[in-house]
This record gives sequence, C-alpha cells and structure tokens, in this order.
Amino acid sequence: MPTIFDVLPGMEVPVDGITRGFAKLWENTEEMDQKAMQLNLVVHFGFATTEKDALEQFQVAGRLAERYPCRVVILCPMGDDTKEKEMRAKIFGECFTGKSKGDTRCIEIVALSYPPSAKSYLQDQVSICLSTDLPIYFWAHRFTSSQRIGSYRHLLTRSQRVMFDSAIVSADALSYAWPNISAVRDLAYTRTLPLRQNIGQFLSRYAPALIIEGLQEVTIRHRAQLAGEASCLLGWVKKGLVRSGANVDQGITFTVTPVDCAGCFSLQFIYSDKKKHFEWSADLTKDNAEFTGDLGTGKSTQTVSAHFLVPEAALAEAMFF
Amino acid sequence: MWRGRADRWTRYREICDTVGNIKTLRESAFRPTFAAMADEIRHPFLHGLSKHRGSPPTVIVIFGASGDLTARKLIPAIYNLAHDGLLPADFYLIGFGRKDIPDAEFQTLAADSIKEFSRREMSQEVWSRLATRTLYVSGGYDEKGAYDKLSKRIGELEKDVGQPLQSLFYISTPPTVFAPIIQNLGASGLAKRHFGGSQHSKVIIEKPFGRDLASAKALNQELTTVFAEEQVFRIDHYLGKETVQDLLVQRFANSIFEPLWNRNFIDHVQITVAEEVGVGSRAGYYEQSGCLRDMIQNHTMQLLALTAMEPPVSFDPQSLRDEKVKLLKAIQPVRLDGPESDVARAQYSAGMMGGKEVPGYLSEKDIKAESATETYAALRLSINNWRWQGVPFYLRSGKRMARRVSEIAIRFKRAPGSLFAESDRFNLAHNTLAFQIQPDEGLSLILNAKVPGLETRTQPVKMNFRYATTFGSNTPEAYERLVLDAMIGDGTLFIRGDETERSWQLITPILEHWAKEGRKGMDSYVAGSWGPESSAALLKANGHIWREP
Repeated sequence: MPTIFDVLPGMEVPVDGITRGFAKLWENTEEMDQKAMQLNLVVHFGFATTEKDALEQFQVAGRLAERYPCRVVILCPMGDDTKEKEMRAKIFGECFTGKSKGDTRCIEIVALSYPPSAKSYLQDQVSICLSTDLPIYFWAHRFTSSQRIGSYRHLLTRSQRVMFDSAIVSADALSYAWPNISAVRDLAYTRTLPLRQNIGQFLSRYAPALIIEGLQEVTIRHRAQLAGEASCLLGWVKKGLVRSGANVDQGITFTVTPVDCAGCFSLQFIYSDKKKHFEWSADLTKDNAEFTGDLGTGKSTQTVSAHFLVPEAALAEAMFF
Repeated sequence: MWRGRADRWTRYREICDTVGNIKTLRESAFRPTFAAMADEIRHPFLHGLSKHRGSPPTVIVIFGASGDLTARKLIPAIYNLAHDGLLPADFYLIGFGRKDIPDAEFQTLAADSIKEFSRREMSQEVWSRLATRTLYVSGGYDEKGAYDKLSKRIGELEKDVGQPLQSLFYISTPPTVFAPIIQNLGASGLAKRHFGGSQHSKVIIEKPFGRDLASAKALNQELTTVFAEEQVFRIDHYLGKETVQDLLVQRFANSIFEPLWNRNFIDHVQITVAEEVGVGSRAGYYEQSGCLRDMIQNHTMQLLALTAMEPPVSFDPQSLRDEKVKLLKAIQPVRLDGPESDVARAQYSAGMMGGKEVPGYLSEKDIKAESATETYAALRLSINNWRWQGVPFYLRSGKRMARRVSEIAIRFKRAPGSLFAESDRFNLAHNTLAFQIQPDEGLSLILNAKVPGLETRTQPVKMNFRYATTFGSNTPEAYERLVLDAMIGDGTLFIRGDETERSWQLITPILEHWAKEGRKGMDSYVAGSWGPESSAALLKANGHIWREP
C-alpha cells in the first residue's frame, strides 16, 4: 500500500544527497540562474493526511512557491507501526515560464519521510534542507494530536508563523498551549478574509452604537462542512460587537446552525425593534452575497462577491499579515 | 450542536484573542504612533483588516477619460484592484470627457483597455461586477453645467446605495484645462462634498505641476483655493514603483548602509532616467516641455530626494515629505555657463537603435528645424549639508539613449592603503551600489574578489538581487498602489505643494537661461548613444565618467 511519501512527485535521492541531487537536476540548464528564495516553508503532514490530500497540498505548496519563491520541505511521518528505521528523501524541481526570460522562476521541493525513531534527529535533518538565514514558516496539516505536533518545539519556536487549519486538525488545536502563541495563525480564519472584508465594509456604514442597540440575537447558518469557517466568522463578529461596546456575554444569543445547502453561508442580526435588521446571505458556489440592512437609517441592499481565499492565498495571508 | 459550537467558540477566542492582542502590540511597536491611533479610531468591524482593505465607498471620476493614460494605466489599475478584492463594495467609476458617449460605450472602451493593457487576463466574472458600475458623464471642462450634472449623478448613486460616497477626482488631462476643472469642482460644490468627514472629496492631479516656478505657484494657489492640501494628491508614478519604495527600505532597514551613506565614504552619485524612444507622436507636447521639465524636474528629482534625504521620524506623509523638502532646499543653485557650468543639454542626431537607422530630433515629424528643445539634460548638483558636502550628484535623462534604464548608482570611495595598489594583478573597481528602478528591477553591488589561483589577483564581481526572480514580476503596478493610497487618504507617496515649488525653484533658472540662449550651447548626441560630450565633461572635471548600465 503506497504511503503519502510514495505518491508525492519527485526523484528519490539519499538523504545525504539532497544538495547533490538538486545540483544534478539543474545541471546544464538555463534555469540554474532563475532560482531564488525569500523564505522556507516546512509542511508537516499529519497522520490524517490521505494520499490524495497529500498530493493536493503538495500542489498548493508549489503554487505558493511559484508566487513567493521558497524552499519547501515536506515532512511525511511514517506510522508508529512501521518497521522502517531510515529516513527517505525525494527532490522535486519545476520552472514556470513568465512573460519574459527574466520572469522564469523555479521552485525546489524536498520531501522527507521519517520513522518515529528519527523524530529526535529531525530538527537537524530538516535544517540542512533549509536556508536558515531566511524566515521559516511552519504549516502543520491534518494533525491528529496537538501534543504530538507540539513536541516539534524547534520548528514551532523558530518559525515566523505556525499555521494550521482549525477546520481539519484535532479539536484541541485552538486551546493547546503552543510555545510561541503570537506566531500561530488559523487558516480557517484567514480563508474568510474576503467575507470579513465585505461584511466589515458594509457594517462600517453604521455607527457602532446603532449596530449594538437592541441587538438580541446573532445567527450564522452554514453548510455543514463549513463549521470551522463559521466558528471563525462568529469569533470575528463577537470581537466587532465587543469593540462596538456590546456585552456579548449578556443579553445576546449566538446561534450557529448547519444547513443542508451547498454554498449557503449567512449572518443575521435580530433586534428587539422589529424594524431593525441586518442580514448577509451568501451563496459561495455562485460567488455571490446579498446584504440587506436597516439599522434605523433607511433600508440598504447590496450585492457583493462571496468566496474564500484559495488555499495558497490563505497561506500567504497567514504568513505575511 | 449548540454546546459543541459554544465550546469551539471559547477555544477559538482563547487563541484568536491572544493572537489579536499580540498583533496589536507588534503594530504599535513598528508603526508610527499615529497609525496605531488611526487603527484605534477605525470602525470596530474594520479592525484587523489592513488599511488597504478598508477603503470607504468611493466614486472615482476620471477627467480625460478618453486619454492614453486612462486606457493604458488607470482603468487596468482599477480593474486589478477589483481583481484583488481591494475596492469597496460600493465603488463606481465615472469617465468624464468632452465626447458624448453612452455608459455602454464607455464600458466597452474600458473592457478593451483591460484586455490590452492589464497585467492580468480579464476575468469576465470580475469585470461584470465592475462594468455595471462604470459610467460616463459628458461635458466641457469649462462648462459649469457639466459639473452640476456630474454632481447630480453622484448624488443619485448615493441615494441608490443609501450612504455617502467619497469622490476621488482624477485629473488626467493636458495641463491647459487643469484650472477650469479645479475651478468648476469648486464652483459646483464637488470639491467640498462631505468636507470634514471621512468621505471628503479628494483630487489626484497628474504632472506637469506647472512649467516653471510661477506657474507651479499659480497651480498650487488654484488647487488650495478650492481644496485643502490634504485633499490634494499630486502623482508621480515613480513613487509608486516597488523599487523606489524599496530604496527607502534598503536605506533605513539595513544597518550596513547608513554608516557609509555620507561624504566620508561616497565618492559620487549618478541618477539616470534613460529612454529608448524618440519623440514619436508627442512632438506638440514635447516641444513645449523638453527633457528638463518632462523628466528631471519630477522623476529624477524625486529619486535624488529619496536617495539623499535624512531618515524621516516615521513614514507618515508629513514626516517623509518634510525630509524631501529639506533636502531639496539644501541643493545649491547651479552654475549655468562658463567652463564650470553644472548643466548640459543636447538633441539627438540621426543614429541607430536596435540595429535600425533612426532620424535625428530635428528631422522628426512636426519638429521645427530651429527647435531649441532639449531631448537630453544633465545636471551636476551639490548638496550643502553636513552629510553631502563635496559629493557630486549627477542627474541625466534623455530620449533615444542606448537603453531604457532608470537607476541610482552610489559609487563609494576606494579602500585606503596600498595593500592592493592598482597594477596588472589587481584590477580594482570602486564599490558601486546600483538600484535599478526599471527594467529588471533590483539592485547590484560591485565588489572586488580574488581570482582563484596560486597568485593573489583581484577582479570586480557583481552581486545581483533581482526583484522578479525573488518576488515574481506580476506585482501590482505603480498606479494600483497610488490610486488605492489616495482612496484611503494616504499621501505618503504623493508630492506636496511645497516640494513641487522647491523643485521648480531649482530648475526654473536653467529653463530661463536656456530660453534666452536659444540654440546657443545646444549639444547633440547620436541616437542610440549614452549622451553628448558636454555631459561627459560635467563628470570629467572630477575624474568621473558616466556609467553605461
């Protein structure tokens, strides 16, 4: 049965032959001069990563590297039951032709497969694949235990950002005592940026006092699979209400309801004054949302786009902002 | 389900609150206090979004809607902002021009310009949203009624969206109609819409900001009669270029440069803005302008100011522009004639570009045989302050030069001592740090290195940093950044009125001198070369030579 390491593209090389392997890969090619690097991205696949998913995330990392040239190192843990004792490595290189020769950019990806017994040596083995003068970003994907990821302390503390997707990692990820909490970013949250921007811009037409006055209930309805994103949006709404002067722990009910509807996502404010209302209702499959609002200043409606950031854009947002 | 969700929220809050708090602390540590304060006064639901994602509902009105700049730069810039999701949901674009064309036709023209000039392929989805908000108002620039019509249309849009719209007037017309546009924006009340509020009107004005000191003062007077200075955004698109902004980062974020950035270590500075193109079809404009007005007074002087100014206390608009003005004030008046003249001018003669013969300036279409318009200008400037006393700054710009290139080259003094005295074995170069603004944006540093071998021989080597290789070349264009900055009211990368006046104060005596002299003293250079002999002589006096970048 293939492992996630087996399905990743690339040429297998000895672990101590990664640099030589790349030198050989680019030997006598014009692309030799097109390699540049502005950062390192370490992608750590968790045990819940399937082969198909690994391949998809490999492509996401590749698209990110195309936009932000970087050294990508993908870590593929072997299961606890493996009899393997040695690490394995694969190297992958690809060039993208731009509008001009000067715009051609090449990426390099290293995949490392490691048995549990190699875990304590992993830090050094990874370090020789990186350009450690440049910032390191750590993306932990589909891990099943925060504690397990938490034991990779070196990566967690040295990285400029530590990213995971709260929608697909173990439930304790959001409460785990990460060693460098200020570096932690939730991809589910960054993915909602376009929604937050649109809702924020619409709500900013109203004075904060108008938004919170008589507010009784905040309701989010979402496609069942978008529970993580809905949770993030709710967190953001609560923060906005608190900044507006509301006491969210008293008198306001917050409801998050999954619905059986492909692209549905909506946010509704319900007020004691029945004339007041605010609703944002999106169909993400159509990249479309409707606002309707009347907070006492007349009825307003607006149609806007509604989509999540694509995975590589969400990664970039989490990394740089 | 609710309990589960509630638990999740609690956990979420724990981590996101912590992240949020720390982010706030980091921002206040690295950004100027006013920015942190600005964030504090932002609407609660715009907190955490970058300032560029929080632009208010806006209508951009382009005067000169059928012009070349609108098609090549402005509409593609607005489209790309829409593509990046950086325009507010309530956004409108109104073209204003003399031609009477319906909205639909203007939308077609806009779509064509996006297809031809946008850095991205046109996405029908993005364009369809913007197209319905792309409108047109016709009228004469000096016709008050047309502005009333414009005002009415903006009022109707506000009614439709149910909230005030910020009006951003983009004057992209020939300078001859600047005055009637500004006056009518005032007379119709458009300039003072929502004045005092966050949605107050703003005006972007394209160069030239006058053609000499007197006209620059008159234009500033015209502008400030109608608008407050903070409503005015004088655009020099060079300031929107990533590499120009990078110059500030290189200077002030790298501790290795600042100790060397002075007369003790720098031998001289060369600033080049060279064009390959000739006058082309712009003879009418160019004959009235010339190289000094067209390039030196604005782009080149801006590059000089950013290269030589003192570190600003922060990157807020006033601090940065204060430092630029201080620097411009420290530049000494130039000597205009005699053997030690600090200026040179020339016209290109017939030559060869890209292996093809090209005519000289005086043989170009619509150029008079007795034309005294310079297509090349060079200046040798002295800056009278503690940092730069005695360091010559050479500025040059010209048409039909060997290659299109804009760069700032800092040449350092030679290393002292005789350890590697110049000889056949030691080929030593001055260390030169060159910022290439365009094309092939980046920077290079010339160092001396040992040639491998048993003997100690040296050779200059070049370290290159290329923007496109590291960051990709599909980065936002200067106009995207600048239009968005104006929308959010950030004037840092725009030119203040006193900056333009100080720059004209330096340039006007040269223009007046050349006007008096006519063709006397006009040198020539072969098209496709690096410039005239008289320009080389400016450097020769100090033992310097122009770079051929």
